[in-house]
Amino acid sequence: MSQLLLTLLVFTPIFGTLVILLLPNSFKDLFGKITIGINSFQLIIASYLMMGYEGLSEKMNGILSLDTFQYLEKSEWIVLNLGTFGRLSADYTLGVDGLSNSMILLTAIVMVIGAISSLEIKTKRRGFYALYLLLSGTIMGCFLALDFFLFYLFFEFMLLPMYFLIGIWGGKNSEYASIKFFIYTLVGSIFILVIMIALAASVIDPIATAVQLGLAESIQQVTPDIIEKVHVMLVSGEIEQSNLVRTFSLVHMMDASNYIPNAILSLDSGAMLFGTHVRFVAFLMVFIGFAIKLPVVPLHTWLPDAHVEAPTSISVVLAGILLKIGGYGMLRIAYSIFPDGAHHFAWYIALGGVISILYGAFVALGTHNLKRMIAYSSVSHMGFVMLGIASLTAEGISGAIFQMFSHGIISAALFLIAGVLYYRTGNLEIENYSGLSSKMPRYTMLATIAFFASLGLPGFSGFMAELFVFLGAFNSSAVNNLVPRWMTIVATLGLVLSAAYYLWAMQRIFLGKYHLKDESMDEKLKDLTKRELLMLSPLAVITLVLGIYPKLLINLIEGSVTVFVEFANYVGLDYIKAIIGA
Amino acid sequence: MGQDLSSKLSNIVESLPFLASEVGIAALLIGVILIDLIFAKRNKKYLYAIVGIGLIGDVTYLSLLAEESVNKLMLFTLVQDNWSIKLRILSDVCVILLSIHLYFNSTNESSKTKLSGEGEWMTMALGLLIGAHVLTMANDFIVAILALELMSLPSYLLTAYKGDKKGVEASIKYFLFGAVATAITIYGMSIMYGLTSTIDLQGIASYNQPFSPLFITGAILVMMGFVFKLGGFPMHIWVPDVYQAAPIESVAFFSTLPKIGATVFLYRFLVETTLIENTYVNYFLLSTGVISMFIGNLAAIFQNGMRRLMGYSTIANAGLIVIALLNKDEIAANALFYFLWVYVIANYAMFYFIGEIEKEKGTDDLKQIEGLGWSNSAALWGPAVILAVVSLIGLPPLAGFTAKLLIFTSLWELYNANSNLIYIIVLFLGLLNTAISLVYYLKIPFFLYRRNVKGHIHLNIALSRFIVILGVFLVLTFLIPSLII
Repeated sequence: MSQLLLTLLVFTPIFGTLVILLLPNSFKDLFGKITIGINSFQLIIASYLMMGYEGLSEKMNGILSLDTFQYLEKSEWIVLNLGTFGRLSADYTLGVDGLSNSMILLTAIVMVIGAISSLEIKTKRRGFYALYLLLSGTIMGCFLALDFFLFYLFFEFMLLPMYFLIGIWGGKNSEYASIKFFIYTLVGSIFILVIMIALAASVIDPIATAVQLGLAESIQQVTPDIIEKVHVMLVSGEIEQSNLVRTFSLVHMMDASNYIPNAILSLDSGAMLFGTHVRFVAFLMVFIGFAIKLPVVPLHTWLPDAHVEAPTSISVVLAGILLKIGGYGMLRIAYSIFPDGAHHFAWYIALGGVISILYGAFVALGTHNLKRMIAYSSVSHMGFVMLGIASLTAEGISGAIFQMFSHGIISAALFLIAGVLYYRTGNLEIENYSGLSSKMPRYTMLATIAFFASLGLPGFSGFMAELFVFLGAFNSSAVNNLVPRWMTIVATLGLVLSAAYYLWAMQRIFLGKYHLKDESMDEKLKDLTKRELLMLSPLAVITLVLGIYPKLLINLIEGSVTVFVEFANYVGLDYIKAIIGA
Repeated sequence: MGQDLSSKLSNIVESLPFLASEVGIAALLIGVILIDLIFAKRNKKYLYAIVGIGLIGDVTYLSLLAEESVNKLMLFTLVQDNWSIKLRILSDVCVILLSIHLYFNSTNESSKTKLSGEGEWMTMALGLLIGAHVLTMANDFIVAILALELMSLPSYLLTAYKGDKKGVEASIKYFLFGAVATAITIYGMSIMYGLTSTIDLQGIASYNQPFSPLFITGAILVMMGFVFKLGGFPMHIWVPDVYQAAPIESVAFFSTLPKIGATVFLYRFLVETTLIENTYVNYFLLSTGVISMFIGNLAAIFQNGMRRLMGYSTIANAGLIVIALLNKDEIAANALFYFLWVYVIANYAMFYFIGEIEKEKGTDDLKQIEGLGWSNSAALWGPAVILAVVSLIGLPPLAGFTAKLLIFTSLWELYNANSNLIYIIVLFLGLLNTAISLVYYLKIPFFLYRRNVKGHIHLNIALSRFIVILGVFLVLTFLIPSLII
């Protein structure tokens, strides 16, 4: 049973989509409950997985080889025989390691909260819930996939439900916002697709190739010696083209000895594109693909539009999870496969992070719309993720992952807070409200928690995350000399700015004398309902608990992050030497 | 040349069993004419069933054919190989889909676009099918041009089938463009024949290389007629007008069947004559492909009618086909084959839908489908159309994605093989076009679900079940590509 848990995690919601599509109309009041049920089921599985995750076991840290991933599921999926080109194989590989486990937990939590929040949707419910479930399945798949093809499948497949969810159930301008979202992300994924094709053309699966060559009878019988032999044969060019089994496996792509000699993306290719080595260009393309998703200034402009137009629950999912796929993709794909590029461009990436932090915060300071402000604060917070990743230190990477988790929880809460107002009055202009604390005390309390958590007050998870990032980035110049100190120092300004816009918004909306621009709103403004409390309180609790006892999360990710950092630093430098030597 | 008459005769006689499929279709064609003559003035919907069943028989026969080595038939004017067998199956599938389309559209007596004359329809469709079959095997200029014309003439008639003014106008346009295209092709062939004094493709290959500029010009002119059938630049002008005016059944048919034959012949022509290795031919294909994609996709953005939208989408897809022709390796053949399958199925699903909307609303205007997706009779239409559209865009998890992936992988292989940056640029432009196409393709599902449904609408539910099968086919072939390849 435990063998199929990950599959269950991905396909239960997709199955749920079919159920909702096929149920007769008389069940339409149940659609929401079914969705919540399925997402809760996902949460239960995810929690069970995390309970059993051996974070401290040294052998099960993932990253480098498939055997070390936990809950691994692998089976052959697509094998295309392409004649002289050899064979092309994509496997169905799912697994969990320290890069993905926290994201899986986050997805499960946020999807349940989002589903509860979706109960506000009153029109075309069948379509909404069907798409919502489809979305939860594909997001899970994205975090679990260890095969590039499978990853890309889920990565792209996610866009369609999202497009419809924003476009059909969104606000007035949603057609524009949804197509903008779609095109931006699609352009990003096109960059990724090109590199995926290039990698598949350059990388072989040594195990399957050994079987193809007759060195072993089945995949199970392939020993490390045989793999070694395949590598030697590959280098000496003894293997015929048509016997090569090209693979999409992310893990195989990380090993330089799996690259076909002189293939475009191999270390010895020496091919140049636009004056730089192809591998650097490839890294940059994958990175930009994910940077659009994260988003990084100046590729962020789709995000505020999408957020402002999207219904509350979709904003929650978008900010809470979808952005994290950008950060996760950078770590799992861009950095893991091209650690050389990561070193080469570290300075620029860190700079991008710093610019995002400051620019996002500055714009947030100037916005009048609550949702837009939160959207820009997301841009700013994702800048910390970039900065942490760029530093390539254990603290920095841990901090980036921590920040992704923490921001997922906090931004979900923030968009729910905005949703509460929007649901009641349909208006999110900050200047329309004043002194809500006397009218809606419980709402004010939870909003305060969310605002403080987001601005990085000690005691909340956001603080811990940003602290880790700063530590990592600051140490970087001593450890691997990738991020200069001044960047970290400049980035701390972001903290001040975010305190400024949050506190100012806080003051304008909640403090002062109770006053509304439009008096007719008065009777609509009621304090939080039980449902809203049910959504917001667990989020508040999580951010507090993680702020006080971060080890809960760090224990899960620490082991893998160590392996990852070591790999990226040492192997990255080796690769760079190899490239320059070639 | 030195063969005597008896050995030639024996070759012809030995070839005959290999043409059983074509002979069978010809027999079916004659049968249809006879039945049509004998049972005049009666509802003859069963003719569609007869043709459909006959062709299913043919598909079964062809798929049982052992995948033997290449057979040279009829004095080497025809070749039968794996590739031609597989594509003849696909051609048959096109006509089967057509007869299903006609069958469903004639059930509704009140339908405005109903066509009379089942017999005529099937006769012409089968004639076209024979042309396509022959073209998939053609290894010789004369046979190729005959097959091309066999496909063209029924097309002109089918365009004007309704007999209305617009249809006739479009038919004349189509005819004029088609005639010019054929003339250009024959002109090119005459140049090549003049230089090489042979008309079979292998003979041309042995012409002393490097090819002279005149020779290359001839080759490019030859390709024009086939690019015309694909609807690629610079022979694309007819596409939107004909799509706009012809009966929907024939549009669906034109958008699929002739492309198969044309693609195969182009591939065979380029590979067998080794012209594909020529730089100028390469540049011709590259520019035709890229310009077609841009023209198609950019113009489609501004269309309000679904027919014209699909017309421009055809042009864009023609560009993709031409680009896939650049690589002569097996991977390109596989990619093309897979692409054609997916394209046929997705296109048919779209045209079934457009036809159904026209039957109900009397127009193909996108605005007319607003909110239709929420009506009960469209419960299956909507999802099926989404599947078809997403496959045309080329996003996973639909077969259209795998098709594009294979084409782009073959381009990448070209780059790998000769490090010419232009292939990478084309690859990028191709992918960029995917992003552009998103804008207009997505309009269709978006309009379907944007508003609430107004008034009552009764779409054919039985047909929608069938379309869902097509949609599921597209998903299945993504998950298990070996179903096709």
